[in-house]
Amino acid sequence: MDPTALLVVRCQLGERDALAELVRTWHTQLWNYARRMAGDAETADELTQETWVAVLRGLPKLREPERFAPWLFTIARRSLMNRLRAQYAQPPDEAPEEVPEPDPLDRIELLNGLKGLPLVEREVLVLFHVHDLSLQECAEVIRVPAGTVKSRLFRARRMLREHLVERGFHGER
Amino acid sequence: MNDDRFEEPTLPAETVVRRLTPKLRYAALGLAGLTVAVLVGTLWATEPALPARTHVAFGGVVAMGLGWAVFAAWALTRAPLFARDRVVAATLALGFSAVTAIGLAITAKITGVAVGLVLVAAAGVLLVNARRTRADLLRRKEELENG
Repeated sequence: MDPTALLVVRCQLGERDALAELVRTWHTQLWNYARRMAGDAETADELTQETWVAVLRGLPKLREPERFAPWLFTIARRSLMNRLRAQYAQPPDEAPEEVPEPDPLDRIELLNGLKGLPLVEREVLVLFHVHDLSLQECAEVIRVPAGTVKSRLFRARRMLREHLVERGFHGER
Repeated sequence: MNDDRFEEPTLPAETVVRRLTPKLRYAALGLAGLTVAVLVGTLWATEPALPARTHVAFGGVVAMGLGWAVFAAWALTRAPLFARDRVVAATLALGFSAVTAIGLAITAKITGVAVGLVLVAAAGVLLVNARRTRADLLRRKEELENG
């Protein structure tokens, strides 16, 4: 049984306690996504609030309750893009290239280095490694092919390591 | 959430929950406002030779009814109704449109009856759709609970 899908259907039915439970289940993840992307807690509060309002508005029309997580992050990303359009507009999109499958990334390494990365690279690392979205779900949220997500992940991890080395952080690998 | 990946949000989940509660009362308010506006508006339009102050009074009541209806519509775009609320709202709409139809039949005769019947039919369609959507979701919920 998919507990989130059941919660979504119960929300769509109009069960008040289900809506509260859905918010409690996903709020911390959503806020942390906004916090890591926006950089400060105040903006994260505003983005999270905006996202929940949009979620509430769109929830009756969500046809696939099992797809709630990528749908939620897609909405959050839209709010984020409205605020950070300039930063999102910077990098030219890369053509998908042959890259190895992403391997596990040391969590401490990751959380320490995120702030130093450009928004596009930070985004893919946050979605894939922090929120555990699949490559396909990341592609859905970011609206690029899965191959592009893989190449962005590859580049982001390389940039993360370079950034951590510059800061004198030495992990296990 | 006890997970080293995530910080505790500065915006508590409970604050969000309080702000998100859908507002069925807005649907009732909007329908009531619309009913008053239609009934008084019809009376205003069909009554011959009214004194000036009655025109002003009728105009005020119609404006107020429409104002509440517009406000309710705006509120509902921010927090739409879920299946259960839609069934309740459609039932209310059927009741209000029946009252409006009777009022129109008394005040505006044949044209009023036709308009009233259209309103009742529209509310009936809304109710059938709302009940069907709710039944589909109840079936889906059962599948998820048992699957």
